[in-house]
Amino acid sequence: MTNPGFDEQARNSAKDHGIPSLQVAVYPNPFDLETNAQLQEKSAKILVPQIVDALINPIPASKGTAEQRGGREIVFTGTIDQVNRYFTDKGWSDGMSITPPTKEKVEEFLKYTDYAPDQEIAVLPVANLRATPWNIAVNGVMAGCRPEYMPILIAAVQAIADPSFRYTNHGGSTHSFMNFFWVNGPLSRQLGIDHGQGLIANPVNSVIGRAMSLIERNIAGFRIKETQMGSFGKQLSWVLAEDEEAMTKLGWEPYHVDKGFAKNANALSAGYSTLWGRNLIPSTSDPKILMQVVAYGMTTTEAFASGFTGQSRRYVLVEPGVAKILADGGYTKRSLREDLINTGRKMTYEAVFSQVYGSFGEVYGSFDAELEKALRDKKTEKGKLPPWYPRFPGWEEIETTPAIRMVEFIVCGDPARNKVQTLAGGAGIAIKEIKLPAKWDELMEKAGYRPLQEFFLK
Amino acid sequence: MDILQQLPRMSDGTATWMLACFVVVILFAVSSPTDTAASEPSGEPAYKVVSPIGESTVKITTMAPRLDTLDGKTVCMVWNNAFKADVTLPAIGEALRKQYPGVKIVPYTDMPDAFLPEHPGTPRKESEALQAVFKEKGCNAVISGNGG
Repeated sequence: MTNPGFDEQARNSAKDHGIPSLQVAVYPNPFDLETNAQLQEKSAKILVPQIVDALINPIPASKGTAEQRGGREIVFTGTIDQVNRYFTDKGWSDGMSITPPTKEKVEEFLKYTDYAPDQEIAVLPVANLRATPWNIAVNGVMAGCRPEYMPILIAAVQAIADPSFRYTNHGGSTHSFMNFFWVNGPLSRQLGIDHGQGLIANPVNSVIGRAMSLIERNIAGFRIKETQMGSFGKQLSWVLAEDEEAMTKLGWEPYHVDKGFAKNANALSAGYSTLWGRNLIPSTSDPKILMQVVAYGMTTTEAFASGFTGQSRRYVLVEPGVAKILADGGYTKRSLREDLINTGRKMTYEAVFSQVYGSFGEVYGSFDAELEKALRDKKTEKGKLPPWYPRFPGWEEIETTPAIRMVEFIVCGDPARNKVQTLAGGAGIAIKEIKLPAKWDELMEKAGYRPLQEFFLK
Repeated sequence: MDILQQLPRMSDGTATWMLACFVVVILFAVSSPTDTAASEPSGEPAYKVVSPIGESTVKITTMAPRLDTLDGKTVCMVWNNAFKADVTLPAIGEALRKQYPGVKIVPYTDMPDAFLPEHPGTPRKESEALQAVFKEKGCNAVISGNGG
């Protein structure tokens, strides 16, 4: 049983799992906006006849799965406009102009990987389609990537395919979780993946992000009004690189080193967020207050804005100038994380209000019952009101609940500015090594790039 | 003299071969899988392009035969702890009992919760466990909700 629109998602997702004709009963209004009496009445009058019909009457013959014609055969011949129209009509394009994926262009990309063209890189949810270097390259061509971005695209597909990324959980969500990626290692500098001012809008970063959005559509199978139910739709994936040289000066390790990679290894990480981020402008040279400002921004930036207190994984984009204040003030990434978690709390009453009345769908009891449950939770404590509230008489009696649990830092952005941006997503995250082909140095020399070694951190 | 007028002058074998070629060409043109835009002389280059989509890895199953009636049948309910299914499912159960007094309803409280499909390539433990419960409870039909 679903609301309108979600019946299509249910049927399409079922087909993607081998069930040709899932029977769905449709309830006309958003469930959470109805009273119990309305739900009971309409369930009997509207849902039950559909249910009975689905269970006892013959099902019309189904066409089976949607056309999933991978492979290398030519599927269309036309001018650039005709190709674009064809791909958009098929649902293969995002509607923006694509570079026609000819065999010749795809084969150029395949030079930049030692994987065989038809080797299975992953099977992606939701559609259970096989990602291979060939079809990854096709989407890369369409997006306007250069062939040398191929190792990045393969690593990104491996990352989103990792169960720890939880793509099955969030890919089709109504909350419009947007995948994003960040790159560490000398490869990011060699390819010019930007870590500085305006980074995600740099064309190198943009086209890689777009390729991953096309892969989401064409290989993961997430399409709006079919299997991707984001209420307001999704932006294209964005791509960042970390400013590792700035971090070296700060004495902070780059993200991938924290995760066990060697400093000059190349790694790609994948996360997701419901928003591009809440912009903070810390305007203090006091590292402790600066930390508190960041905690404030994070506490009020949940994945679902409400109803999800403490469950989001937060990503904190820190500009190098801000990171310097924190580092000079004695903060390591670890101690910063600890202080943010300890500081970032919400009044329990507020947290319960947002959960019960702003639930993302989960069934809660009455406000009073949920408040009582929350007040009994051992994580609820008095005397920990965040520093952005006044210390009026009796403040110590106000119960608060932790609002920050998982934090990732990415040092990037304009080094001449004092900004922090906080993103909030679900728990899933993944990091993968970016594998370069044996002939990488030779290929890159021919392509006019400086050697990879020149971009190693000392 | 055009080619068709020349045909009777050739040996039977050659004429037959050429006719066969024409037929093959016509059949190939009709059955070619390649889509081509309606030809319009524009002078622009034409691109032969490949598909961006992945190959499916699933096998299509057969839908279970429909029931003749719900009387005497067991209808199991599964919820996903979302979108007030704790209200709609019992209401549905009650309405079905009124319409089919012989139906047995297994409420969602007696069934495992619904879950997201397992990630491709991972063990299908929850799916198999749920299927085992369906068999154990003798479910002839399952109603699952709510999606939104």
